[in-house]
Amino acid sequence: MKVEFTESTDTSELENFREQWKAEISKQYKKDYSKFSATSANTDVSVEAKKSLELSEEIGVPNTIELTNTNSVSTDPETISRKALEIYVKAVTKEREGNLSEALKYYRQALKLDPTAEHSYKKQLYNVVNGKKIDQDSESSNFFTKHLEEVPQFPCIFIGEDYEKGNKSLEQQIKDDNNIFNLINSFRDLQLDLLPLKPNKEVYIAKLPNELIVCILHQLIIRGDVTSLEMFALTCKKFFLLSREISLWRYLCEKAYRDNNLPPAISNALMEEYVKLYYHSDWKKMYIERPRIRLDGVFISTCNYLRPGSAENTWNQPIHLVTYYRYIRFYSDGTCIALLTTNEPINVVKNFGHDYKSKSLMNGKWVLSDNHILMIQAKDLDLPKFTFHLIFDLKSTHRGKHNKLTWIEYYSINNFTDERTDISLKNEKSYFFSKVKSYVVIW
Amino acid sequence: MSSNEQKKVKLTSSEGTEFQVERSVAERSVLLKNMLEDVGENDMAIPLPNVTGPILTKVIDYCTHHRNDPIQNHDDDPKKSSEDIDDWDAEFCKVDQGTLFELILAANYLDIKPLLDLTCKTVANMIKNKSPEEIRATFNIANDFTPEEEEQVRKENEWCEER
Repeated sequence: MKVEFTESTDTSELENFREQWKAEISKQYKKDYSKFSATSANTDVSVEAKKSLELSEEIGVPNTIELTNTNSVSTDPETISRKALEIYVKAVTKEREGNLSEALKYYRQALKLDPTAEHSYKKQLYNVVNGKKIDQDSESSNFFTKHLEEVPQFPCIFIGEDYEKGNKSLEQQIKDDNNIFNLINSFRDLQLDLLPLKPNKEVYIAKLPNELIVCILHQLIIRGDVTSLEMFALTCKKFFLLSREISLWRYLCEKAYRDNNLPPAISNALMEEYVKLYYHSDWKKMYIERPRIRLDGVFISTCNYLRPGSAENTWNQPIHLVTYYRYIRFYSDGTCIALLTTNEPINVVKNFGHDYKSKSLMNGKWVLSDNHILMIQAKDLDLPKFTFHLIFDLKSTHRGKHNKLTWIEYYSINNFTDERTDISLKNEKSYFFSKVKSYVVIW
Repeated sequence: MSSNEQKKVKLTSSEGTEFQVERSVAERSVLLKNMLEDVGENDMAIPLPNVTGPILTKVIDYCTHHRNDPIQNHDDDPKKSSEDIDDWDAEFCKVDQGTLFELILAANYLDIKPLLDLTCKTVANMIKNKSPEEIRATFNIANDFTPEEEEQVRKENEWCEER
């Protein structure tokens, strides 16, 4: 069976750039439109520019090297390619800064000078991250290393101690990304057949075309079970590639980062912009890295305090160590439940849901803003006078991502007087996430 | 209306066996529904060269049981499609792997979305919570990674060991 992989996660930098750029143009266009200023000249020019960019690529014009006025006149191919690389680096920098029209200008210049500029950029990058020496030329190596240092870490999110501990260095990250990238490419060139584990038995699943295997994977992740998908990816090369199918990760992102205040179509459209801007349209990367509230388990905070006991018949006063627990479980519809109790997790977690019966169970609403500030507004049925506000910082630990909540603020508001009372955080500890297999995520 | 319901439709499997089903049953398949609408009143049997007799029997079983279900929206409606498999459907899917994958192909070809979802979900449940070794054993697939490649993939997937 021949297998062709049409999935295109390996979109080149330029490809990505072009996508982003299109988005920018369309945004620009919409903006203009909404202002009723109807100045389409701007867009027209850009469309023109885009055409010519595409054209020059397609035809591969640059065999006839045309030097732009900003460049010194030189015909030495090495000088030209170095110059082109330099301009290309500028373009990448501009792109990363979000200045797409500037970036476009440089990309065009670079490609005009040397059609292989992109290739040599990648090669240099590869060399650097693999610790190899960059091409003899010290001048070019200098600006390149400098460029690498300037590359901001994407996405620019919170950097806490824990985050850094759990996080790979940028260079390691690039190296790993590169490795996977190479791996995908090496597989894509192969004709991947499913080989039987036991030769005398049939491989029934091989009858299915790729799109139907992807259908199965969609069913697999319908409730956010990414772990099973990643296990599936480890079985063989073909399944590894299929598990990266964009539509799967896109589905996961659209659910996990859904803005409940917006209609789905708008929420998804905004997300599309977001993934282009911050994750180079790599939905999988976004799902892994962009902070989200985990729904497939419960956050637990274990707190202790000492309470002096009273004793009549002893000389020394006993001291009790009191342990209590705080639990929060989040739902995709923006609601959550929170509980403060001395009951141990083993007695609570299994049945902890909207219908959990307990004193001092709070029902609340949550919002994650700025990718890390979690705000909860909750009410306790027994204390109808108050609304409680819990504010956290969502962090990662070396054990996993987005699995820690550290307290920022805790206060209550009297619903009648609007009076605010701060609640002491002296004994409070951070919450840590525990996955609970029996929890069903309903998106 | 009711006379329309009684109307029988003839289908021919790949071996040439003829099956007679009520129109409402056949119409669970979007492919057949469209064909019947295009063709209009006609006694000609519809050939289904991609579907064998035994598989067509199973498909007709399914469509007969679900003949009165509301037509599912084609839009992605996870609440609907993620509902647990009911007893009849679970029993229906207790077949050998060969049949199961043939059913997926037939449901796809005949365009019966709920049957496609059901069969795909059944396979997904065979993957769920299993290790790569167990998945390989389930589907009789050999590991074609080199140890280095496997290590790389494992490394990339490390994030997922969610705790």
